[in-house]
Amino acid sequence: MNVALRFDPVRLPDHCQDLRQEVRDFLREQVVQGVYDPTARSHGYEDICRFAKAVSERGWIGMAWPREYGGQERSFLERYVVSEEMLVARAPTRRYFVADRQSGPTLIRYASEPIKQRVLPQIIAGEAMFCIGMSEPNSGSDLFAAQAKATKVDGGWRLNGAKIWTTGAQHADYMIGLFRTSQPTRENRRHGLTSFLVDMHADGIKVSPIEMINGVMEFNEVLFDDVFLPDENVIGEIDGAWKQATSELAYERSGPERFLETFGAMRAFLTAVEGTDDTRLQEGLGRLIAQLHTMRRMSVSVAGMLEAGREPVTEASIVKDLGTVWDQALPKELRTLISLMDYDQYDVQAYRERMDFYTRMAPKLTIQGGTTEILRGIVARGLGLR
Amino acid sequence: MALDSDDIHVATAERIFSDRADLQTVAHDRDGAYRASLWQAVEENGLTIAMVPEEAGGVGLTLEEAFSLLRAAGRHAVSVPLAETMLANWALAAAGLEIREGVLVPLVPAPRGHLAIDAEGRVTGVCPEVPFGREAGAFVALCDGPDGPVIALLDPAACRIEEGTALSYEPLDWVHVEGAPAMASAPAGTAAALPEMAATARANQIAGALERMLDATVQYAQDRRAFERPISKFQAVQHLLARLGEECAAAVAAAGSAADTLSRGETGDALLLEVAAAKVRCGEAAEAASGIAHQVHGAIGITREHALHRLTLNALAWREDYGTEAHWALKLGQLVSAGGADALWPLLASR
Repeated sequence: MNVALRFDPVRLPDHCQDLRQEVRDFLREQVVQGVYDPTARSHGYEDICRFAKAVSERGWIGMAWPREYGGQERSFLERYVVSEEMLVARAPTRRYFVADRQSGPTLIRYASEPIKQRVLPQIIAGEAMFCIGMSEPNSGSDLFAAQAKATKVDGGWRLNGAKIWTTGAQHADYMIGLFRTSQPTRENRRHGLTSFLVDMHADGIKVSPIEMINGVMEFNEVLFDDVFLPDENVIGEIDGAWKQATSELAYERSGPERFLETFGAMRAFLTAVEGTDDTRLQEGLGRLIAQLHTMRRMSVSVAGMLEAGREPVTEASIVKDLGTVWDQALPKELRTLISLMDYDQYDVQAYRERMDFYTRMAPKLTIQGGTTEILRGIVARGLGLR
Repeated sequence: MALDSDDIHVATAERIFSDRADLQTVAHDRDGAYRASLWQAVEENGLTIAMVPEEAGGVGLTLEEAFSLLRAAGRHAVSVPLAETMLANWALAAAGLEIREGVLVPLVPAPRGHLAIDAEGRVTGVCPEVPFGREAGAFVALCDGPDGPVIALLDPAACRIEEGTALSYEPLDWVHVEGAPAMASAPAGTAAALPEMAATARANQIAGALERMLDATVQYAQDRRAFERPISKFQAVQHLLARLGEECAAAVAAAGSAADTLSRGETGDALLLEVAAAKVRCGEAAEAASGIAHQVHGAIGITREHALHRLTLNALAWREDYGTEAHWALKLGQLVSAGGADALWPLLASR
């Protein structure tokens, strides 16, 4: 065998399944207490703050991080379980999700000590929301075309330029952003980009939400007008951010959020067809569940690789590509099935509305966090073709 | 944990397969002359009794190890009744019956056939589309008995065999049984899971064929030049190969997870979920991967002399055996739709 793609059948250990029950009990209690409504399309800022505090009190933010920064050094598999239970319960994790998944780990690995001492405990307390400043009006997948600039000044840096499609920027406390600090070289077009921790409350930052067709304001444009950052906010090597980028991707791309985004549609469908004896519906449903189950097993397998200290960049890209393509096609597949359902036998109407919601949003799934085309390029590299 | 190919049993099997049934040689061999020597080596090395516990006279591999051996057989598109004999011996031992030498073929009548055994031990019914049916020294049949499922050993001479051919040109025969006396029989016990075992065997064989297909196709794309460069340098081709890799990965993951589940002795809903997912997903992957492999090969794989068709036709034919994707999807869908919306996630998350 020249090409080895391994996905071992990793099982979550018993203590993870105990934790799963704790998370379920916690979420049920949150709903009962009215902290959040699992059927809501989106949640307000107050709600996400309240929820983040409650999760923090349980110790489930930054749970896998080193103790010296307030973490509990619990396993990556434990974090995985907490994360997937939150997703399935449609819990409003927006305030801490990005920080917990990738910004925190990036800071732990590359940030200066004073930043780590100050910011990581804020994340763990559920009080620091992060956004990711990568895409720009004229650069998306091609990160190395980034134009937003950081210029060296006395004691720090001045930022100028624009970022766009920045999820959650309107509420974020921090951004980890990619800025150009020098020009690319002839030998290396990736050279010259530096990663910064940006205080989103700093003077000179203007955030403009971009309204989506479903009325949700999720994405933003962020403008930087001579924003000052102290030196300690440089993350990692100046001009060498590209070296840091790839290791993050395995964390960002293999998680359950890559195929559970439309789980609500599946659930709504199941509610509508519960107890059906129509074999067409049963067969269609069984097929979708077979596919979903396989992706989850692959995702858990990658979680096992991360836990073992590996950097499964190819495997993670495979999970994201299969997962998002499936997630995107789910409303279409379910549409085929509901077209077989009689209105007088099934409550199709309620379900239809939910499906339309996902159909409208589906196009973004194969763009955010790495497009289909970029992912397939990474897989091709893993196969030795690049 | 899944096994690497450096595992001793898998390595032995791989050596036998490549020595006796090299893909290219087999593709050229119209008469199947290689099959006798391959079968002899397979039997002499105990592969046919790999799934049988040592105390029952077998090799005593874990089921997970035995299924990874079948994945290796899939990598070589092995076309002797190895999986069939392994499964039949497993079923005999699981039902407390004596294992046997020679070619054994399991009769798994569901979903489109039916076999029943009466109180006098006579078997009646039909088992459609039995791989290698005509080659059986004995059949090991899963029958409905008066008090539950029964494993019955049948003499092929007492059955009527109607010969047919699979997509892969392998034997695919109908077995008609009209009151044939069982040579031995026993309550099935754990052998009642024969349909799940057989489906998982095919899923693993498909996963193996896809691994080899990926290897061969990546290699071909690097060797073949067009427009003054290897075709592997074209982005359109790279993306096809990435998709092939993804389908292969999904098949390996699904088949491995089902094998692991059987190896742990799990039963009930969890077992149905795992086996159905494996057979459905591997079947789908076989179709997608075969299409891509032929496309990248510029369709030369449909010529007799090129070995690719050995992999693609076997992978596609294995979809049909022991329940198609639709059969297993229906079973899984019945389970889930009966359980309701709140039961789905706990089932998925139990793994």
